[in-house]
Amino acid sequence: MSFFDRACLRLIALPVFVVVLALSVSADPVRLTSDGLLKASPVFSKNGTELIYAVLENPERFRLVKMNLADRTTESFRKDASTAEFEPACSPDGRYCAFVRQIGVLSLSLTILDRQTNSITEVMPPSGFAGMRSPAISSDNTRVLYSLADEGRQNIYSTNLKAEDPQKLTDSVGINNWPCFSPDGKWIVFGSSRDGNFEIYVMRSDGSEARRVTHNPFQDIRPRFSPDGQHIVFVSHRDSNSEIYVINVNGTGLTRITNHVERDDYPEWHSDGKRLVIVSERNGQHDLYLRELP
Amino acid sequence: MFDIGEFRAGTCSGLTRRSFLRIGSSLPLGFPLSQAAAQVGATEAKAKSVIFVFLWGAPSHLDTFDPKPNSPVEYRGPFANIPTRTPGVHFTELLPRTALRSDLFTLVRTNVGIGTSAGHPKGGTVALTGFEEISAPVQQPTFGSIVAKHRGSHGPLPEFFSLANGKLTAGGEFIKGDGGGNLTRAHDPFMVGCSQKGVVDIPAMKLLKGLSPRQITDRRTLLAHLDADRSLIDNTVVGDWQRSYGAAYDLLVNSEARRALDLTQESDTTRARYGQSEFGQSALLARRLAEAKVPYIQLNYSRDVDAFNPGFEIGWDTHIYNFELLQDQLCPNFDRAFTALLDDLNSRGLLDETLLVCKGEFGRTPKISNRAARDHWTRCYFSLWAGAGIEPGRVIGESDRLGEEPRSGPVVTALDVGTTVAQLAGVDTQARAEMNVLEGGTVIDELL
Repeated sequence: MSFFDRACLRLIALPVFVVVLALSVSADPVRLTSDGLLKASPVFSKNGTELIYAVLENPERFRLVKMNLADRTTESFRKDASTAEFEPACSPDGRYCAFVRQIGVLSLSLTILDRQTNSITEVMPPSGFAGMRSPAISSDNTRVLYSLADEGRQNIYSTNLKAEDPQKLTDSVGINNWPCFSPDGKWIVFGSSRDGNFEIYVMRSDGSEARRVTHNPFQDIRPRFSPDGQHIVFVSHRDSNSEIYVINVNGTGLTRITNHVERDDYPEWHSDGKRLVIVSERNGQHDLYLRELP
Repeated sequence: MFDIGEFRAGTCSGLTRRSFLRIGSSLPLGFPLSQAAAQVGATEAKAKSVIFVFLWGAPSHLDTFDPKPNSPVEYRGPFANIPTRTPGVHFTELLPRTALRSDLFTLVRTNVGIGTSAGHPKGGTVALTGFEEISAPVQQPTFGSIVAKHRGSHGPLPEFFSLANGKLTAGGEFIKGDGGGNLTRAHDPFMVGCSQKGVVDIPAMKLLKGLSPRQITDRRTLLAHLDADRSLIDNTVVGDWQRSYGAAYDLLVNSEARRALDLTQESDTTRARYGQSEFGQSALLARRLAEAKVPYIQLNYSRDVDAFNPGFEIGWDTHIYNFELLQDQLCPNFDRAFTALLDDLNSRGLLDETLLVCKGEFGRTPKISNRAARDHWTRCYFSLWAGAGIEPGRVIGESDRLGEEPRSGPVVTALDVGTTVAQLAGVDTQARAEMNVLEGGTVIDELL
């Protein structure tokens, strides 16, 4: 190859390299926080313009933080909170938020906040060590899902937004947790250990027709329906540590989203269906990242 | 940086005044820092330092180091098992890093509790002293106090550190047996806390009000100042106060001592390996203290036992949401920090002369509770042992099919744990007898 050929090759290769680099840079996840504090359970609100998540601001207490996605400014979601609050869930329009509130030693309530009227409804736990976990709100703002343990099992329940009309939706052995409504409200995706280890399942919103979506000996947890209702994002340990995967609702088309030696967890769909927010541990620090789907 | 009280203080170019004012209360009363109290036997110790990792709150043995995949569904829990470096031995999937390092430590699966101490404050006393709590105010000494008294101090650092953000509690109630006990409060631990960001905190009482390092040019000046301010000191401890604040002076003015407490001396890479958590950064601090030849470091996972207790960090007492707490927070945090500590000790050649022990005060019920979690279980649980000549890569003792009782191997009580720790730290049979401690305890021969 002559000098001229090599020079031409460089001229051609350089822009190609730049384009490839630009594409790869644009696909890199966007880091939304940088304090490294332990974070969990980010959820989008107000049609994807706002992010609410739990952060361990000091060793004793998880607090809910609200981020404006446009300028990434943050503020306390509930300035008057006096105990730990975590696991937020929001209606797509942002009017309602539900979260878990610590009300005593090993005692957790489910709090439903109407942000329009600033009124609170609380679902109180049974007496003793008990509490609700993992709330989720239906897109029509009528029902709230949650997980609660009783009689050696942990099942999924729903209530209306006034904490009335509780309904038990699962009745299986093991742990049932992380429920999430489909966008049309007809289905619920959840994690369950009913078959021995944590797998992903879907059922109708009345609890009927439960069927298994994943089949893997390692844990599959924290499922979330995509905005179009066709896909499920979840966390799995199948590749030796906590990574993010997407699968079709019918159990086909498994796609691995993250691949890192450190932990990736708590995925949540942006309302555009093209991006996920994830809590990623990098260099021992836990921060929120916005990641485009391939 | 480290923080004495609530203010950060530079350690390379001296201390700020406010920081200096707040040192003192965390010192054990009568802590004999400058009185070289080295005793016979210390130089013969296989373990120059002991790091006792206390998983306060009691982790489930079935969900961590003793899984029972073939037990009935109401026992086994939802986690998969993963192979370890030790052939035929499995841990749960929650501990991938620890599993990859099983060749560096030995696992005991037949620890047991004693008496009726199934509750936390009493269980904590048993775990740290080997004996049941008694109604008298003075308990048996904790293992760290025994080693500290025997070994004495050879430098500017206290001989017994306890790393936590305050005295250990269970539901807000203090453990009775976490100090010098009948060896006197002079052998209480020196309490040091550590934040997620690695800022070291020494809780303080502002007893040295009005003083600054510049005013204190020597110990005599310090004591003269303190004489003028005796009213600030608890009358009941006046007899010890001079030694205590002499010790404070030594710690504050000695750059070597300050450096041992300063995590900014570590590279970002090293600090990251331990993880940005209180336990992670405390584990790094423990390694630095072992490097500085501190005889005994009690590395507490949390100050309080409870997983959900307003005002306290999350501990291992998982009466509700055991499985979620283990997978979301407790095990990832532990897995990262513990293996970083193990690797660090190993790669620096410190493991030969450092004993690393890790355990809770008991285990958790093999049978899943009505709350779909696990409660207290004293009849069978685990401990991890590394360094100081212990042959690694083994499992000692076997639990039964359900993990309820020891099936074979040694039945290891907390008293045996303490006796073995003491023995490896140079407190031999004669020394223990002379100190009148750990009576009836047996060295776990299988470990040695």
